[in-house]
Amino acid sequence: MKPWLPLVTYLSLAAVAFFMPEYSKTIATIVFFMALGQAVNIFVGLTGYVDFGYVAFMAMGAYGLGVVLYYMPQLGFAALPLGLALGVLMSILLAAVVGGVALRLRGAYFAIATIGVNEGVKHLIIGANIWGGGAGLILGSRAFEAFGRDTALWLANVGSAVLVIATGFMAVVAMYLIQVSKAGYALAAIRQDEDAAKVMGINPTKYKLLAFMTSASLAGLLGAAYYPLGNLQVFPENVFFIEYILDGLAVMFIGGAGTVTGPIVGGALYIIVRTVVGELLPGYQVFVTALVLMTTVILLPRGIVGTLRLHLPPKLREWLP
Amino acid sequence: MSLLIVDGVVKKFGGLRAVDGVSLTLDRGEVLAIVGPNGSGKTTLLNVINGVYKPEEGRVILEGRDITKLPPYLRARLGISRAFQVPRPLPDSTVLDNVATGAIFGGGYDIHSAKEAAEEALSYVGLWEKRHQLAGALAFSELRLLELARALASRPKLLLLDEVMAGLSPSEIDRFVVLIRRIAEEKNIAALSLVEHRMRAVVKMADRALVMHQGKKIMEGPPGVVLNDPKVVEIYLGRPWRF
Ligand SMILES: Nc1ncnc2c1ncn2[C@@H]1O[C@H](COP(=O)(O)OP(=O)(O)O)[C@@H](O)[C@H]1O
Ligand SMILES: [Mg+2]
Repeated sequence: MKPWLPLVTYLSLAAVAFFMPEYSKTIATIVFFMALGQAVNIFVGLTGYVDFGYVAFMAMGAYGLGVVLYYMPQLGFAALPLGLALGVLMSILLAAVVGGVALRLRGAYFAIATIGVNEGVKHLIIGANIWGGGAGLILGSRAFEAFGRDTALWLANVGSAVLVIATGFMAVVAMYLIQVSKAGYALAAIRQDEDAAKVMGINPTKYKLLAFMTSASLAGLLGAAYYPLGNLQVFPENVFFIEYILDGLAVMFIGGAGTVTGPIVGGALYIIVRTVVGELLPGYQVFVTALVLMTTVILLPRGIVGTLRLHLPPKLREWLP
Repeated sequence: MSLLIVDGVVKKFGGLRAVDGVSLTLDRGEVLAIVGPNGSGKTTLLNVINGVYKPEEGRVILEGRDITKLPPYLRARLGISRAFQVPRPLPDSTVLDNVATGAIFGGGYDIHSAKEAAEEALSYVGLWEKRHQLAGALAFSELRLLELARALASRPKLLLLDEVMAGLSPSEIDRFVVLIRRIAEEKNIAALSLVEHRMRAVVKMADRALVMHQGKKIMEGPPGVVLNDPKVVEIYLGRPWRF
């Protein structure tokens, strides 16, 4: 497997976002869906499990950075790495707790067990009135205090876009590292036949948890890059927006579940469809998401990249992971 | 010390005693055939030995160690490998990767050595030419060989073979019997081979035969003797067989 094509794609996008700030926001919005699909893919694509509480990981990342910026702007620039680290850490911890319990369940049971996680965490924050409660965290003035006005605005524009792209980039690297290691073999076996995998000496819970926590950490980073850094705010209604998991699944399935390049292709196509539908039939985006998901799964079960790979000679297939 | 001791194992499904107090021992390099009609509890016994089921009573002991409570993946690492009654390949993985996966996790090899071990096992069973094909594209008899190679590559001490000759032609069965004998004699690997109908093969393949009926062990001894016993013949609904 040669990961260069997706890596160079993300690097090029980062270069454009960096050197042409007028396009940064647009690029961030598009790559957000690619990176989301990429992160979802590391768990769903590699294990064959679906997590309907997934969006909570993005929320944890958003709150990690949001909370540090809101309560400790006096940290200055250190608030950024610290907040990102806290966000990623909270995502991983939530994944460890949810996964440690629910990943012992099989496919559909796992999906059902996770449905409540997103709403549960959201209502915990609102109900207990922590981290800004239902009103959320407004971060504009705190970011100005921490970074200075100009830098804060640059971070919200260019910095956020670059970090969103970096999330996609890191997801490709993670996918590569998994697939060339023992974990790749274990997950391939688990996805295809979990009982046979066990009898072959594989501990399924361990590798599912590994994929789950990796995926969650990237989702957390994405949440942090997009909301507190990019929008300078964290609202529970935004960061726990449960439809994002449907978006992530659609992007992943259109591109090809389990493929590395798939989410980039899927994300680009998905944005086009959503934008066109938004223009022609406003309000029907979710309906169209569902329709696109169903059509792809039925007509093109391997997705675009997955199907292309099937028809490429082995030498070329290496280059389109 | 025996390689495997199964001691008074009982496995119930609701009110049904699918395995009802079965005991057996197996030495290194020995081939034991477990013979019995459909539903006599053979596969269930195998599932207890490799940890898919935990028995209500009794113990499973491998090399002196009580493994009754260990999960299947740990038993695989201790040297118990299995071929399924209905082959269960990883259809979207190559033949080589199927076998290498067994070598990595059951055999404890790193990826590089696992591939070497996989190629060796594939040559041993005669499937090396197909190593780059997807397992899903193999013919049925090749899937049987794939499962055998996968089991072999994971450095087993004990092979659990669940009716691995079912669905094969007479000449394929002959090849399989030779293969299992070779594995036992050359590699000193023990095999527990479940058989419903292929009695001729049992005599050539097994050092001993154990007959099961309705979850119970009916008889045990040299295959030629056991299979001609009137009680055993009767279990098979009076259908006698000839060697
Ligand atoms: N998972 C299960 N649940 C309930 N009953 C089962 C299960 N597995 C096997 N049985 C029953 O246990 C008995 C023994 O089955 P099995 O071990 O598959 O026999 P064999 O392999 O000798 O054909 C049969 O009556 C079968 O219906
Ligand atoms: Mg059976």
